[in-house]
Amino acid sequence: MARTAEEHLSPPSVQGDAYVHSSVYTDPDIFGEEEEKILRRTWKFVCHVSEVAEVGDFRAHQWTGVPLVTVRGNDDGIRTFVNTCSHRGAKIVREPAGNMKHMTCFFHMWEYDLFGNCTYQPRGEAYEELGPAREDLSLREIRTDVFAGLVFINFDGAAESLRDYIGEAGEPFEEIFNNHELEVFHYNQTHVRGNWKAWYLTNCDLYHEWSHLVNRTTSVLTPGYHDRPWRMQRNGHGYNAHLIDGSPFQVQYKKYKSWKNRDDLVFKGLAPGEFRVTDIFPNLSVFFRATCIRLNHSTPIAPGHTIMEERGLGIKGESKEDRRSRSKQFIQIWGPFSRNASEDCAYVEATHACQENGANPYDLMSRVEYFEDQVHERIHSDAYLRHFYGEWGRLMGRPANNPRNFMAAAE
Amino acid sequence: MTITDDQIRNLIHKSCRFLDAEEFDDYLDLYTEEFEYRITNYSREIRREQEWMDVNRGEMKGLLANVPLHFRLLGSFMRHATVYEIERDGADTAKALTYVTIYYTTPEGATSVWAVGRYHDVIDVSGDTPLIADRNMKLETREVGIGTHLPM
Repeated sequence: MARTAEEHLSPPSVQGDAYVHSSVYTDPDIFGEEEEKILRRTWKFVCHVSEVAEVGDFRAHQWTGVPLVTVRGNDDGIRTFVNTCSHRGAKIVREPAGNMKHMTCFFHMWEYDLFGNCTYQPRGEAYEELGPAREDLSLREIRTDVFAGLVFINFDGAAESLRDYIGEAGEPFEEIFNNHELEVFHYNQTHVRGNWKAWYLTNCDLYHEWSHLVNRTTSVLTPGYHDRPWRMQRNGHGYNAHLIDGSPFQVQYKKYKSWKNRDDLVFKGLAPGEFRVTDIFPNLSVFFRATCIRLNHSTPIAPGHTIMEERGLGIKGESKEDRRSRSKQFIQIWGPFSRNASEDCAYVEATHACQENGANPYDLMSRVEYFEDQVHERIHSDAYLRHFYGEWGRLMGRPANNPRNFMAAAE
Repeated sequence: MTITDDQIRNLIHKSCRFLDAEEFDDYLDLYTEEFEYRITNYSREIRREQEWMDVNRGEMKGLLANVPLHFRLLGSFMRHATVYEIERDGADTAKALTYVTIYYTTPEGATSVWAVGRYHDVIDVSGDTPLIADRNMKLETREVGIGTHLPM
């Protein structure tokens, strides 16, 4: 029997951490609070070191609405600055990437060196009477660090170190990343009409793989698929890397019409066809598919607007033929014309369309599939989703299943 | 028999019409046995050329055969193509440059420009009818929403 309106709006009859209220995806106040309490206090992925390989190489980006530029300095250090001129606040670097000797604001031609120092003001002597002194006009620097070739920033100067923050969640990918000199060969970004958490959690909700034809044919029906446990880590991270007995999970790519198994070009440290995913809170996912590495990250713009970013990594210096093969395999699964990522975008937009008008008041995450040990949970469990919202609730100081009432009570 | 420029234009226009109509068998018949098809662009973010689709006949055939089985973008595409240049490249091949605008219409009937780009084609003109031997759809557009499973 269909539910009445009252029944539909009542919380699901499950334990509290097994559902969240849809307002966490749609409420502008909650989004603003997330920016302050989560996004500006945790380590945020920026780019791969290969994108800023040479002195003067830069990547312009933004985080929580703040324009930023990450640049490799003359001392080889990678730094991030707020990308706005100390004079009248114009954005300084306007290209997404490039190489520069210094940063010049196009408005009044003020210049900054790659350490963020203000080094030139046309007719600068006119500031001598009222000030400020030029040395007080340097750019604001944002804490920047690198882990396994991945560049991160953190607005919070008091946060724990990047290595401590990632902790054991780095195990499934750090060694493989360090086995090679990697470079980004694929990039695309998509403006998704959905919430940043919904995008990220699609990477962590592997139950949805039933819906992808590729995953259904090459993975879900493959022996061992369900024998992989979620490994939860502190700070909201987690990964799914091996079968419970420690052996790799090997995808059968040849089961998809016209595809071949991935036995060649496999990254050192992986088995042929091996799949792994590591999720770094709050929104970076690192995927391996034997020959391909995917970095998936997003930039939240508004509750229902997220910029999704996709990067593919290859081995620097590999032959043209090998790169083409690797690229072909990457874009079969990930990319705007792929068999997987474009479908994920559609899932996120479809759910958001129902969440933003209240048609779907709760997001259910009550799947539990234990191994025989009754401790570890299998691949199609919602364990990681609950783990994510546990960390979200800790940082936000409220449960995700009732965030608005909590806000009202606090007022 | 010499293949005329009009025959080449007709071939390129057919490739658009067959894709619009999702008449995939007819679309594949426009290509040589050994053809290669790519969708490429220049990424300003990573400062390099990149491929977003790269398939040969077998891979294209498998891809198109599976399209109806995939969950995918609903609605339809319409390709508007203008052949700007045809250059003879010896007796057996010609090169054609075509500007393409792709419109997307939602299931509700709203239409917008989805992407713009250029076909860089190599045409096999050695037989009775021209065939596409190589197509590079070089996209100017780099933001294509949730994407699609189809060649462009």
